[in-house]
Amino acid sequence: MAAPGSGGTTPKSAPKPGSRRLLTVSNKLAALGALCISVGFVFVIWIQTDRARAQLYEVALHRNTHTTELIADQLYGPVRWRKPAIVQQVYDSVIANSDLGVVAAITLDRHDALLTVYQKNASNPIDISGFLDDENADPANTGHATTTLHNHFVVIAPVMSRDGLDRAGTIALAWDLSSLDRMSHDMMVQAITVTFGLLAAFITLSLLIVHRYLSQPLAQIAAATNRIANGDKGLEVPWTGRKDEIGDMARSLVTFQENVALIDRLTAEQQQQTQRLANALEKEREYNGLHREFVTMVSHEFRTPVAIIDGAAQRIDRRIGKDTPDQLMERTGKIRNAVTRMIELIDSTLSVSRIEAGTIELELGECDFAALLKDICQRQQEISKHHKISVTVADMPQSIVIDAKRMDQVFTNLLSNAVKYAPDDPKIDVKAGIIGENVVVSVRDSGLGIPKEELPKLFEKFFRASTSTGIPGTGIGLHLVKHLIELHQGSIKVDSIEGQGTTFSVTFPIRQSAHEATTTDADSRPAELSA
Amino acid sequence: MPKILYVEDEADLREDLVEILEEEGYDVATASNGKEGLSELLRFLPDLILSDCMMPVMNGIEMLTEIRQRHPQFSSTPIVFLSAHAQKAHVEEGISTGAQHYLTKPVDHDTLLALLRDTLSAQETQTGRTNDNPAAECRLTGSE
Repeated sequence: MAAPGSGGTTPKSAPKPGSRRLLTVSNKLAALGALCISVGFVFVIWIQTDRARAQLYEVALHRNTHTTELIADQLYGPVRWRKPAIVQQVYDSVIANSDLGVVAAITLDRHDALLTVYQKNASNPIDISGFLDDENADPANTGHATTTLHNHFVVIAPVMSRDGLDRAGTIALAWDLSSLDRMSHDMMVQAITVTFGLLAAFITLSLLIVHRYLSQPLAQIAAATNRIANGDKGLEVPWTGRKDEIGDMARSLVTFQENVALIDRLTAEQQQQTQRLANALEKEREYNGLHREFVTMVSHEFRTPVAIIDGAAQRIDRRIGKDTPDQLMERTGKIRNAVTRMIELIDSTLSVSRIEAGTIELELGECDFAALLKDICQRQQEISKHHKISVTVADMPQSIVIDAKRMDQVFTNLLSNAVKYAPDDPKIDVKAGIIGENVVVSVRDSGLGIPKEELPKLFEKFFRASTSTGIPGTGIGLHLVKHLIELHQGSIKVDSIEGQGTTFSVTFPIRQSAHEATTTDADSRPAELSA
Repeated sequence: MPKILYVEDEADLREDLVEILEEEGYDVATASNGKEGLSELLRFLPDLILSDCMMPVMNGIEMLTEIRQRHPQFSSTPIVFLSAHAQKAHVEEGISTGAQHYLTKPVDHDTLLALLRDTLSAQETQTGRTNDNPAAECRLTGSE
């Protein structure tokens, strides 16, 4: 998968399978099958019905012929003696027997003259005599004959003498064939109904089976493929247990899914790696920039006191014998101040390298912290004559155990920062007191302040707030302060509002017993500094 | 007497140089940052500006840019930077902003005075030729 924004191909989302589609493979198969089977069945039914009809016809023919012969036997006397009333009686009884299905009958004498005619339905008479013209219907030749006439089935039979040698006359009976047709029609309808009923049931069953075992699994696998393509890693692929092609497909999909997950993981790892490298590079660049700035500023910070010393020296040189002792003292005073600045700068620069090397160790000793703090403020006040530094110290024990030299460094730094970053706001407040087991000192100025988003970086090495533009500084002071306070098991925090001022609060635990001190000569340090 | 405006935030340095410049006979005004420098410039109408680069509130480069953009009447007033930034990039930045010279601290006083003298006389020759600048006129009247 290409990384977003790389300009290459972006992953396509898989086509969505229609959940309720009509033209599924199984539906198409079922429709084709149904069509073929329907055509086949119609053909078979048609042939079968035709054959059944022929059989029915055969059976009926056989029965009717036999019936006609029986009637012919009974009619020998009446025909011979031309007694139509008796003939009529016989016909009545025959026709009344609806099982026989006779609808019309005629009798001829031996010269084929019409003796009697009988019609069951007088309004719709059957013309049997017309039929007798047919050559097949010659009872003299055939004994008896059959034919169909106007959808009727006619049987002709001779009425023989007792000895069976002499023909006394002829009878012809017509049966209605519509019942036969109706019967075969009913049979066909029944066959078609049953067949198509079974067919419909078969197709439905086939569809259900195809749907259940082919179409649905295929659709589910298609849906699973789609979801995997769209990034669903946890999806459980269905039908992996099947031993057929569907199972093969599902198992292939599982392999595909695993590969996708692997590729995703590798891509993510690679992106993380790239991000880590980019972050590291960015940090390195930032650090290099800060370091370059630091070197520039250190050079500037060294050159400034050197320029003061050199300037004063040049003046002394030029004015030998002219300067008053006071003027000379002023010049040497400037030189000494400049030297102090340089020493402080050297100290803090060296301290930073010691922080990096981890070799700073405190030289603890008993110290009058209140006096130390006042001394530092006084020193700063002498340097920054435009500022008004007020010091309030409350409830401070006579003596606490600290590294006085390092604490001096801490508060000198904080005070010189307060002065430096509040060039137009003279009021600086230093407050010290005890809260619980801790010494708390705050240094507040009403100067430039620090943008809120830069506060978390403030104690990083070489970092300088954007509001410090134009103000000399190396960016190591606060880094050193934080480290030195932490060596005293303390902490420092900063509150600042841009344009309104900054307050640094230092907190460190009180240690009053001297036995924790590693050296004893540290006691004299505050006195040394105030000298 | 030529008038020099000296802009410097380090009081100890400023005091020394003011002494020297006054001994040399210049009329000197001072400012402790670029912003003060701008208001002194309009009040004092100097013939030359000597300025530090790195100062709080407004640095020397910003001050010079402001003069060149907002105060065309001082377009021919020479400016000399005297800075503790000694890198090539800083010197180039100062010159490209429009400074005549860029000196680095510490500076030899005699060298500085000679340079100021040369710059001022070159300026006088130039403005003598094209005497149509109101700032230049002010300067000439001031120097007599």
